[in-house]
Amino acid sequence: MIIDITKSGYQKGYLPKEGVGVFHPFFATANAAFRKEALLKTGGFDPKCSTGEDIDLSIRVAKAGYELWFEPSARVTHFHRYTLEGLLKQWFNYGYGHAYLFKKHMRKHRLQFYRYDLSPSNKNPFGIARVLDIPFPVYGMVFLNSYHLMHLSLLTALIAFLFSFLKLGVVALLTSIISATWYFWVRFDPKKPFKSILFSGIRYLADGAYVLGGLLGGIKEGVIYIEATRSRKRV
Amino acid sequence: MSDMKRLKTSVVIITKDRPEDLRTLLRSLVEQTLRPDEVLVVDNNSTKSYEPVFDEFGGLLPLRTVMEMTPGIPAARNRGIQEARGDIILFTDDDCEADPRWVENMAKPFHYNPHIGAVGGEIFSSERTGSLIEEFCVSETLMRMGRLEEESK
Repeated sequence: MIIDITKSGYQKGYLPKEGVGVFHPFFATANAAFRKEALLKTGGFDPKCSTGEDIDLSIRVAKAGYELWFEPSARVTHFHRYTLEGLLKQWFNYGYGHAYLFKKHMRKHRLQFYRYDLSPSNKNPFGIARVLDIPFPVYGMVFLNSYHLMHLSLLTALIAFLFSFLKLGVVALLTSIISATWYFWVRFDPKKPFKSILFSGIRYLADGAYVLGGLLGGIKEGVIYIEATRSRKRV
Repeated sequence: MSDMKRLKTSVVIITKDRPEDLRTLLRSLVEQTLRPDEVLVVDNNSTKSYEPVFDEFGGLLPLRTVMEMTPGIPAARNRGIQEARGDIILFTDDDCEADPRWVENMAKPFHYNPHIGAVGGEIFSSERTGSLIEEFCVSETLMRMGRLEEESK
């Protein structure tokens, strides 16, 4: 079965030059072409990137003054071949490798918070919006989503109940339940209820690997790096 | 556009231990509406033999092969950039398959405007063995990409 993606995040034509922070328009090397002159001018791929070398190169090519053009009629099909173990490893590696990439391209001594915003006023092609940008001793990036919220509020609830702050505990527990429901609801498909809940479970494991990879990669780079995958409700 | 010099294309593929996947990709490159001027395969220190695949496609494609001993995707791709003779370098992965008009449609925008430094295309997602995890990966890609249509082929 070939599954047809009829609409990507990009529109045909020139990509916007600016992203939000490091969330910059890029082309995955599974389907990207570069003018050789642009590759020579920018020095090609950064050997320090363990993943995301394509994001890094797209940013540098755009910064060198070149235009990026998205051509939806140029198509390749990527064949996934994964086991659960391979999938978790891959997401761990994404998190681990992206920490370097974020450190390389973000402003130093800032702590930035991001969230997913799909309203039409948000021009970022990935639906990413910055919610807070404050001075900070080291570099930090935190992506806020329901995955983090359900865990943080659950932790808050446990601590609150432990110290008998019952009201706080109830509020925190409800917050946790609501965000967990939202996390699963985003993937819920009434046509395949069982499978879509199972997929949410796989996503949950993969998110865990991604966040853990990001945390460890961040520690290696000396930065705070809390990632989260972006998901949106089917439109 | 007719008075403009036609830019030469190099398809650069890096690969490691996936000769059978590469075969699928190379087959899709044989059937292009615009024949690439060069197909450069960078073998990133594989233990599996690519000889039968290279023999099969040597006469069908302008195929060149190099071995890059330094492990890692950036090192292998940079070797490809160094070795490639084209004006435009097209990248795809060894577990992908190109549409018959891929090279033509990727090369076209570079001719519109000399300031275009990079062109990206659409990446479709498919399963290989039909395992649950692969099905999950496809459905995730679809979610990220937006509206979708499923189509049996």
